[in-house]
Amino acid sequence: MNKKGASWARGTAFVVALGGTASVYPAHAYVRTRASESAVLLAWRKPCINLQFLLGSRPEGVSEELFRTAVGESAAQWSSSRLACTKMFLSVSASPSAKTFVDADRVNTVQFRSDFWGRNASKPADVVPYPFNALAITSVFADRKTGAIVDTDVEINATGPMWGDVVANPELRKSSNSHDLQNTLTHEFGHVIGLDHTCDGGGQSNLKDNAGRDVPRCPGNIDTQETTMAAIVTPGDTVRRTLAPDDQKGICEIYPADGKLACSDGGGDGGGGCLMAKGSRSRNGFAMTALSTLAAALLVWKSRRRGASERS
Amino acid sequence: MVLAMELPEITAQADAIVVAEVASAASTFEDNRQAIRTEIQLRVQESWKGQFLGKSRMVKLVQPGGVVGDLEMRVHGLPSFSVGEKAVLFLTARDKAHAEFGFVLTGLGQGKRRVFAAAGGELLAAPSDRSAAVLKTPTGSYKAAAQDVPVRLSDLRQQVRLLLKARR
Repeated sequence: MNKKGASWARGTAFVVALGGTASVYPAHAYVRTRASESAVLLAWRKPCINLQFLLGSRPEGVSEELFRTAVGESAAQWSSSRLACTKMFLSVSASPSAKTFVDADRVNTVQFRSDFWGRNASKPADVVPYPFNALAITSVFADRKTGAIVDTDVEINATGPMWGDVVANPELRKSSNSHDLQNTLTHEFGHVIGLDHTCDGGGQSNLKDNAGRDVPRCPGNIDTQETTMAAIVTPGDTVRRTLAPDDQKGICEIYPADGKLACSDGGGDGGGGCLMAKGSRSRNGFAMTALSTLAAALLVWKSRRRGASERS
Repeated sequence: MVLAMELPEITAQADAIVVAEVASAASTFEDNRQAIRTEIQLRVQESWKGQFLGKSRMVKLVQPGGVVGDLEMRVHGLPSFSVGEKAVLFLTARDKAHAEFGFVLTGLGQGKRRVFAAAGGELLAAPSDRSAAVLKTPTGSYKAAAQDVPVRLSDLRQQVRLLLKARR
């Protein structure tokens, strides 16, 4: 479902003008991530997830404030602090590290990639580049038997795309290479909590919406196109900064406010975000209790050890 | 999240364009880490653009993600591959100095167009046309995305060849 009535009306008029041949995708549809070739749905076992963003990975032109604000605001979109219907809370913590591995280490990371866009490796034959037009990539690790997500890592392409706040600086829209950081991160954090794309960006065989229907091919129709979880965007896009009703329905049905999941439950989820209580966030969305500061320090120490050993 | 690539752009960007059948797909851990990659062996049936393809009819496609034991690494935006599946693939060489390293998909999932037989037996490329095929531009207007409907494999082959010829 689209975000603005006026926009919907515009799009509907356009579809009708095309001849009315397009099927209308149902409103309030969302797509959950499934294990490959399986009906098992992936989700966290705890509704409190911590995302560690690597301040040292910032490329030139991305201020610390921009990175902090974009991560914090994007996380808040998927959190109980903004959505009363969900118990999920995405907390964030900063690390001074410049890079870390993408792997199932149960530390959820958000980092820019400035030197190489892809899967780096010690042996050249093992290096796997990502496509230059991929703005960001989210890797989700899960136990495919139980469906429990154990780790997620978000990588942002800074080898070509320029990142900024397109809402505050609308002149950035003039450049086809400028992209809104908060817009992209809000989409990627949807993957973090277990949502898949609302349209098929190509070749995916396992995309079904919450009612079991196949999803449309991207760009999809006017409803799917304006969801945060649409797969393909155009430069300067800011529609995905906030959630569409479809996205809200997704998180609220997976992690309902009155659900049984609790942050204190066992079953390691790599979250570590349960130290931050709902409502404890500062104006910028970053508040740390003494315990979370201690946890962050441990994570920084771990990241530094890992970062130092990774090939530059 | 990925930027849209229309047919002329993805045709120009790809090092190789093939129609191929998936012969095998195997996932392993990367470099002793808890991260997974999948190597897909493709049996080439047609080559439309052939840089770095070599003489072999087998081509290697590598992508992050996959399944090892009970651990699944899902990389959003990348498509899945099943043995026996046939597709038009837009490929980028992993390392242009080492053709033996194989390829990655050009433009994430946009680089794969599944090939399937229509009711009459005619081969079609690309997924179904359940969408309304509209695209919102940054200025808020809408335009048709005509390439996102199934086309005859023969028509797609012709379009790609015309695009390649126009670039020469």
